[in-house]
Amino acid sequence: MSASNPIRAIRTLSILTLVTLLSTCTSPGTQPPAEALRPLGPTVPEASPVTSTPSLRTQVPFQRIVAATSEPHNWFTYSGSYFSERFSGLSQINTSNVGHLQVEWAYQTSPGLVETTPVVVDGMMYLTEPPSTVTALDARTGRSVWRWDAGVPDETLNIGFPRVNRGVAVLDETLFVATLDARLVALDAESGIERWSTVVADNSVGFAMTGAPLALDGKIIVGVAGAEAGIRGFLDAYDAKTGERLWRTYTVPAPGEPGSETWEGNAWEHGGGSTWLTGSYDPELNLIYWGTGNPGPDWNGDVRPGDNLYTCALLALDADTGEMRWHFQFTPHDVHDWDATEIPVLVNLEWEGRLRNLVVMANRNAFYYVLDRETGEFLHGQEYSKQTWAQGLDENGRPLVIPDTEPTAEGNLVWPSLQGATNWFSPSYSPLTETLYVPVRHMGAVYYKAAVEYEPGRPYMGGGEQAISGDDAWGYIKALDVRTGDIDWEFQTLTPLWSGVMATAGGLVFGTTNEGNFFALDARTGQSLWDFQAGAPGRSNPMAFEVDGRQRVVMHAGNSVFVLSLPDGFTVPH
Amino acid sequence: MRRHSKIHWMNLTLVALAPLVSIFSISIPALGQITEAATTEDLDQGRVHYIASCSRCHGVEGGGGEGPPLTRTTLTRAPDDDALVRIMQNGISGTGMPGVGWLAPSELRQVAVYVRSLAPSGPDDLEYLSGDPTRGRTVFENEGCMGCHTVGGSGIARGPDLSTVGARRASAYLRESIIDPAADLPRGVDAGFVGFGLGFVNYLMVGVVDNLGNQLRGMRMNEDSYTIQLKDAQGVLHSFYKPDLLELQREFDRSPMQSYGERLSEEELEDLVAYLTTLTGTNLRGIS
Repeated sequence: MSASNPIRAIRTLSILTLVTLLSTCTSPGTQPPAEALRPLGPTVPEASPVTSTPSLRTQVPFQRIVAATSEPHNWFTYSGSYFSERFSGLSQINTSNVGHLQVEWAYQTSPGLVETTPVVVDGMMYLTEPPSTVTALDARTGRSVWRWDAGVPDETLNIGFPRVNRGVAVLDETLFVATLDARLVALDAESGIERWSTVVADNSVGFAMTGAPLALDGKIIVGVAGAEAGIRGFLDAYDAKTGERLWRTYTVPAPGEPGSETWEGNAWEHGGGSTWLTGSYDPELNLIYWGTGNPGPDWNGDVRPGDNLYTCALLALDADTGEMRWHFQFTPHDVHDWDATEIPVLVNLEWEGRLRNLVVMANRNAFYYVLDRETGEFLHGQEYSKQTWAQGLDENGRPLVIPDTEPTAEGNLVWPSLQGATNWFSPSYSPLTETLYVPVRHMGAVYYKAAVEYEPGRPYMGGGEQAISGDDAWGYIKALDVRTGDIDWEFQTLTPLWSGVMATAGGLVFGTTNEGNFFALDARTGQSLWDFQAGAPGRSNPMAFEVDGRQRVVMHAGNSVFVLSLPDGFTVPH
Repeated sequence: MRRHSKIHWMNLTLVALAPLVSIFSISIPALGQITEAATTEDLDQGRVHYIASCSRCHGVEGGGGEGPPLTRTTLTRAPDDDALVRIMQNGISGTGMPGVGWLAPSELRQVAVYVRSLAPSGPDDLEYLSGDPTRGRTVFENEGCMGCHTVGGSGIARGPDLSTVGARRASAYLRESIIDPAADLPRGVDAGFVGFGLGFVNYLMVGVVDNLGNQLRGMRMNEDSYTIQLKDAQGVLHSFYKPDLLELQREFDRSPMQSYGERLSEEELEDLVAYLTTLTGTNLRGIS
């Protein structure tokens, strides 16, 4: 953990010099030699909206992803960096000029629900469309260059979630997409030609994939959905060149394995523990941090007595072997469907007098957690949204569960609802304000329990809910002090949010609402500085990139991907 | 500003779930392929999903409320199981019935099994109403109901159109709405579970004070996180940017409609309810 470590040095440098360094150049970082003769940055200071500056051929070696924050004009991973901050280092759009933001272009996806975060590499944008289509766009104009259709069969099972896809991973000259029917596919970034396709799991028993894979050094990490169909969850690593599986780590132990004492009988066989979102990675520790979903069946815990490890937990896995270094279970024996798949955000902070490597998570169960990411030690936790199921957390972070808060046959009102105080959509961490911005769902639900028997490829949930809706539920963006979880400010929205946020070096927090509002808040005060009615629900995470010296913010409404920027007079020439 | 005290649907009397109905598949005659293959588990699961997704409007036992009763041998819009599943998937445009997009097709089939089980085994149990529809129509016209409601294209459309209200509301709900209009304000269903519409109170009275001190009360027509649209008593639309407002009061305990409990005799009330239940959209002509 020495400060002289090169990776740490790059990160520290990038944070300290973010604003000044990056507003003066668009450093492309590590570049392949073959691209050396191509122009790397804008050559015309006052760029017209469409310039002749060519895009580079996509080449994203591992080291370039490690140093992603030194290239804020690009967006290499689902969450923007291995630390999953979803923070843009771009500051051209800032608190003083965001009121002038305007739509530059829009792209219309295929029908269905859009939850994608585009990846942008040197002027090329790669996004996914429902259900598992990959499209390459010219990032300046939104015009498509190629499109790859996964050919997902109509009869593909998606039990417990809609037919969405959240994005691609990029490594070297290849894109990787996880398809709804549970295949991992490698595509040539230049052409969209399929390089290889590997069946990860059997969709006919309910396995499916909706999350963006995570590309590491030579390997692709990908998780699965399906706990509502009674799968046994796992996390996989595949060889990026061949598609060969390198390791698999189950999230539910078999009898005799560590953690198996938290299960009884054969319940583990359908014990759930999905891994359906994208985790984080510490290149220095070589550890993957990945959240796990609910145990199966969701609302009827009678058939699975015990804590049900490693469901509703954060796992730290050795990236080379998949070996579990530590685990932390947020909700033992969950009976409310409070997956812990939310994005784990890695932060390096001074903690009680010394620099510590931390991982923080605003959990679906309405508590905020700070853990040591080397050891998994629980350092702090507290409620960040209304909840009625726990009195608090004990000194080890275990919830002090209030009796009679489990689902019943007659129905039991509990906060938060099964969608949780937050859900799949991303939070954002700004190193400038040391604040975690969390989209929140202020919503309770009546939970029901029912008998359930496992049957392959069928719902395995054991109950349901009736959520409070309409005027009785609403949403927030909450600004959490990253050390304490104290709420610095909150911004209320009409309905419980289903879309993520992005903080920027321009001092802004971008987000969208279910009613179609795009907005930008002052990251320090929560004051709304700009809004725009985009005409359809937002259910994606914002991201940002820069090309030709112009910062763009990407937000989604319905099936439209909007790219917004400042008019010519507001863009700073280089 | 927000109502915290009362949650309408919590007043539902929920009876115990999961009654074990033995050999369910042979207890219902002449059903389509869905119920032929139905099992007891399908019925149980269907009931669970029904209660979570359907019961607020149709009642736990299918007796209706804000939505129509389902305790009928023939459902007008869903004569067969395919139609029933299709309605659950897509909703019914122009009515309060939303698509239940959050349930998988297999789960919708289970709900269909449960809905079919609500049908009476004997003769149809269409609600017995004591009132006379013809007299009820006279009450409707004499009391000035068409000053705010439309039927078959006639009237002033300030409040809900009633052309098909008989197909959409149970008689108990209609009776309550006439006596105590604010008791259960209709709720929106226009959007998916993430958008404005679902569960929001319709015809909600809202009072605002703008940044110049001007006051206005009106019916909420729409709202997002930044704006609100109100219709005043003259039918004129007003739009406000919420961050600019000095005050915004949502009046959840009031209805724009007055109570007719004192104005109508018991007989007139029953006649009016009987008339409204005949408004199913199948015979709209001849009302002026």
